[in-house]
Amino acid sequence: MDELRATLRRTAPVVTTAACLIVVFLLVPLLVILPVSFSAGTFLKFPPSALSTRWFSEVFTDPDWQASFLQSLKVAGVATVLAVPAGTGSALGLRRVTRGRRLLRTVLIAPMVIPQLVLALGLYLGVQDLGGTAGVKTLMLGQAVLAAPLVYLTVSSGLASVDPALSRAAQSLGHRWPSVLLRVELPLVARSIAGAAVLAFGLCFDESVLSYYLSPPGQETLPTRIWLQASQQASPAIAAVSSLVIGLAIALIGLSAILTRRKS
Amino acid sequence: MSVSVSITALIVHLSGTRILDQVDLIVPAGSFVTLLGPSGSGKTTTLNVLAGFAETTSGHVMLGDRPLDGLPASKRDIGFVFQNYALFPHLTVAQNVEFPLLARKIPKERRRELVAGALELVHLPETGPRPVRSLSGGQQQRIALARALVFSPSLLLLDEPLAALDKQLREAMQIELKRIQRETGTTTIAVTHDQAEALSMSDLVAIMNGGRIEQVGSPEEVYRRPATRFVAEFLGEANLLEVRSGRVEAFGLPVQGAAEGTTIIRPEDLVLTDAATATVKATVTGVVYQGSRLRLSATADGCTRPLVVTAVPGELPETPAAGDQIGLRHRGGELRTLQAV
Repeated sequence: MDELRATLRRTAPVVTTAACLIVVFLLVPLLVILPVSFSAGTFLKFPPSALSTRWFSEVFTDPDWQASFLQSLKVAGVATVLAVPAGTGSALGLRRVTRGRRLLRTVLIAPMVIPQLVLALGLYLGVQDLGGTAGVKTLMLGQAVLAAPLVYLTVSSGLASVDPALSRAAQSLGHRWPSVLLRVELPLVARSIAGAAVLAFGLCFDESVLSYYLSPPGQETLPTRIWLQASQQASPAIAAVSSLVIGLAIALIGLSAILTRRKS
Repeated sequence: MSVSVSITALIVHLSGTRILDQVDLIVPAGSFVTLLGPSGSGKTTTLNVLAGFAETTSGHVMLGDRPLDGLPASKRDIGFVFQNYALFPHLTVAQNVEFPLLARKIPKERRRELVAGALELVHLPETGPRPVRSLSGGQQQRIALARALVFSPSLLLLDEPLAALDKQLREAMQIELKRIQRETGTTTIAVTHDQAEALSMSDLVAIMNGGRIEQVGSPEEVYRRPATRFVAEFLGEANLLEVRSGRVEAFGLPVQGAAEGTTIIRPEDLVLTDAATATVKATVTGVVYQGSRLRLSATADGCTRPLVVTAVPGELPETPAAGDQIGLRHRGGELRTLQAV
């Protein structure tokens, strides 16, 4: 124990320095994007020679950017509505499973680790094999698949602090399972579910790989449009949109953290 | 209305291990029965089978004339008080107590009366609107009891009801539990590992060991006339003495039952006397002052094991010390050879 403590004391400065470097590395793109989005010029250039908010006004008034923003909201919204019951149901259901729980858990988390490219291609080919055309609905489904594990993990961790005896108590007091679910289990994890929904929405809103592969032309989501714009023209409008997306992501993560905070 | 409970030839396996091994128990209507035993003896499993939380391998459980086998927990009409109370943290005290009534489609007006009555019963009438978290452990215990009794169940089950309370509160709650049980007349089965708790609360005590019931009887019966060595040793201190040819070693008193074996004499049944009336001479090896009593350990001539003797400090002319010679005699009463298990 003492040895461990001594080692920790010796390595603490090294760990702290490494952590700081990683944080800086992760934040540098933000430090570049933010000033560029306030540029007064017409090219993506760092540092900007003069500052203005013209690109923000441009983005807010441009119908194409508005359309892709609304498209992202719509796709992420539907995907969240699909992912939340799936992830919550898995978390509640897996609690009752005693045999093979680890295997089921791994299967449920799998979409987080399989390459999104593979998922995108699989969905595209799968839908075509079934006689349909891959489109916005496929994209919504795909994003729901990506977000469900996140919901599952968030709700599971909320459930971990809920006494399993409560469900049994509700049963012994005369309530059958739908009533136990509605009156006891769901209210006790309501905050976790809300936090999970916010995270899922954030994940889907920013999601770019599936969007790029599955969005039909003219119905691009915001990340897809950023990508397309960036490859065609280097306008600071892209930086402005990126800054907005980053701001939204930070706000969503903060909201989720507040919702899933453990009450003492 | 009180209902009797009968458990017949109950066997339970849990992941390959036999947890209950042929348990038979009859609980008379309106009585307070305690299952007493060390951890792993199967007492909690028995309670879980009654509540419908554990699957049985074979055997039957009847509540009055109603078979419970295979019935889901929600349909058993049994009040269960959990060891950690399992109150719903998102509901107020009144909502917790009202919870079982919601499943029974009872009109709102009547629900309010029943909740008020139940809170009255546990002497916490003012707590209704408070959140559960704001209550002390003892209060939470009472609310759990109110919630388990508000729907007038046929049977009340208590899982280690006092384990989470501190010592002083525990003794007060023992009296409270007994009062509430007597007032409602509900047949009650409690589980505990604390022998003092079992003896003071129950009409009948069932002592469990290794998935079996070793003895069922009134508290006095199981303490004064334990059937087996396990029961004798589990319920307080016991001097185990060898029985040979129908007589107990050293003391030479006649023993009922088998002619060879072991019998038990409680420490308080050994009396310190002068040499004239003593049946056994002993040497004191240790003295512990415990306030209301003095606990002596001694080696007696002709005894296989050391003896434990308790005495009331004020009744002795002088307090013995280690190394002293003392005389001992049996206070009287029947001695019985313990069953070999």
